[in-house]
Amino acid sequence: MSNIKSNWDGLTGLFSIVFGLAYGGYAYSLPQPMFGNPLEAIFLPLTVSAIAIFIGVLLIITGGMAPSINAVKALLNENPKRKSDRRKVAITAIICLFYAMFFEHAGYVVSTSVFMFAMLTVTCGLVFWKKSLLISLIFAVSIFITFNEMLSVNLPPFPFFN
Amino acid sequence: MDILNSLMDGFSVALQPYYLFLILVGGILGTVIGMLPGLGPATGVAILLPMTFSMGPTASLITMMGVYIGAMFGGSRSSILINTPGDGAALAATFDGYPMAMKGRAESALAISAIASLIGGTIAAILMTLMAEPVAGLAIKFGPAEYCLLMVAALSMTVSMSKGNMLKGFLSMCIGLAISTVGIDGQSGLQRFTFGVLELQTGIDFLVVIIGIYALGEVFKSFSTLGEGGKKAQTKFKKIWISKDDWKRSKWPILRSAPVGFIIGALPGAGGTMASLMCYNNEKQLSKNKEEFGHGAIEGLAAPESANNAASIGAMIPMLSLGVPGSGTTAVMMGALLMLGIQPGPLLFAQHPDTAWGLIASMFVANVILAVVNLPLAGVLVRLLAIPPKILYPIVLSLAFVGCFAISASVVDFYILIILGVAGVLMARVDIPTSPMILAAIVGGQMEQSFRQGYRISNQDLGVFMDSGIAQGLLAVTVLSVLLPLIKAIRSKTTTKPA
Repeated sequence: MSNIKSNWDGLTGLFSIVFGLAYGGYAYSLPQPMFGNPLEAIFLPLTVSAIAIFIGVLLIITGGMAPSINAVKALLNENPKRKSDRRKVAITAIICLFYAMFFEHAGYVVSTSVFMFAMLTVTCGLVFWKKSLLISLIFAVSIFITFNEMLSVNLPPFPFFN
Repeated sequence: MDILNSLMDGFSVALQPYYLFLILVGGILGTVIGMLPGLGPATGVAILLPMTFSMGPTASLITMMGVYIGAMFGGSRSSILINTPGDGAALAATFDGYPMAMKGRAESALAISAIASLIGGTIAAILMTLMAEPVAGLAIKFGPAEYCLLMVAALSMTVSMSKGNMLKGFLSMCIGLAISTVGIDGQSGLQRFTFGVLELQTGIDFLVVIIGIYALGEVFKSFSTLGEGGKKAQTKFKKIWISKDDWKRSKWPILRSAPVGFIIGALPGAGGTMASLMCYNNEKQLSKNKEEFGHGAIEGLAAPESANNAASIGAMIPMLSLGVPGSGTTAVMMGALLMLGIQPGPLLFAQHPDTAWGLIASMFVANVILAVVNLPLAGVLVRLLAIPPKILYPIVLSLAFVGCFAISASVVDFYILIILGVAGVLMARVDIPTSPMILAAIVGGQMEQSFRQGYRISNQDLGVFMDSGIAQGLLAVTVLSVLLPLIKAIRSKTTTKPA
């Protein structure tokens, strides 16, 4: 059994360096502005990039990589419940992505009803599908009416009958 | 005398029936959102923001103030009744509030929480009245260089508050600053980091950052507690009030904690959590009954409740007087003001006195209204704690998306929202604080423009950033806020080293 405590400092440091290099590199490759000091527009990005690289190096020096490797191993060997939680987050993110893709095409009420139903299925399971469907429809319609009619925020209308 | 006259003018605005109604509605909605586990005032104000789009600036700000103070009142309900804080600022209320409820004193706990919040909030509103205009007067002397340094100081203070994670706090700040550089550069017209996406030319709205991190991030994080079923809240109460002895024990802790909470709240990044925890510890040190703390000591609930409400009002000082938000919630409010064409800052009091003083007066009014609502209606409002999180979280997610669409009318922001929500989970996992990122995303653009303006005005002489007394003072604050925690950490390491 290893005595090294696990933490994420080393890997965070590595991310910081990669982020700093990528961000700084992209900033440096930006075209020069048509007027003014050419360095002004990239001064902040280059400074941020330098700070990120410096912080990354410090994190690796102070934290070391071994505790991060331990943390990754611990993550991979987590109990099934934690793994299932992570899976739920991933599924939710994917559902959100589909929602974003269909939001304007399917209209607010349809896309939100489907989104809410999918989310309620993730959180409550399929056992209460009738209840979930009812909540989804009532929620989507009431929010649509509230925003469109009362708050003058135009949400995407129904796809076929505007 | 001028301040008193201005405040009276403010009251003539805030006491109009329409504004009273908005404070009441905003306050009740804020209380409801504040008491729901995981949803704090920033999330509350962010998801209720679209509600204010059809209003004028004064009405919009007053409504948000009602939501904000309501959320601060409501945050402790779930702490006391189910040992689950509504947000970080209500954490300290679990220490003695929940034990009080367990001992059958839930009525006294709910009452002292509302009374302490009312007194703390009112004392803070008085301090706010006295300080807002003088601070704004000082801010008029600020040039671009001083503004840039003010934002640097705010960022460094927020980073230094990242307990034990200062390096990660700096990384978080870097990510926030990177977000702020996306879009067309206002001074050169150069497109930066837009990757050819048309919608990114206007930049990433910081409200999207806030909603992503707070609403989506918090919901994602809450998945780990979904299966636990949650604790059942008590929903039937006797008279919600306190005894004379309770008042005797609580009055000084309440009065002592309010000014401390106000000052801590006014510091960028510090906020209600730090204020309430600090005041709880102070009271524990001062108390003759230290052993009762953690087992239902009423002063252990009164002090943090007074402090966190005072802190929420203190956080308005930098936003109103300097145009720099002191907390996530004030950042959302500042965003709303900017959308309505009003620039918060030193000129706010001169150009829009009705809005500025109306808002300050509404702080007094909102505290009274919320105390009145929270005492007799506590039993009704806490029934909402019975809504299972399994149903609540999908609703919050959906409201976050609709709130985001109402801000920009662009689906591209949905993708940014999702990325930030996932980033919020990952950042929590690897202990990267999110507040420096959020503050940097908010002030980054303004800080960069101020730097470049100062640099140009001085004919590209960096000395302009050290010339004035204000600049030197701000530089000193920046350096000290970074160095002091470092020195403290090194000292504690050397003293704990075994011989």
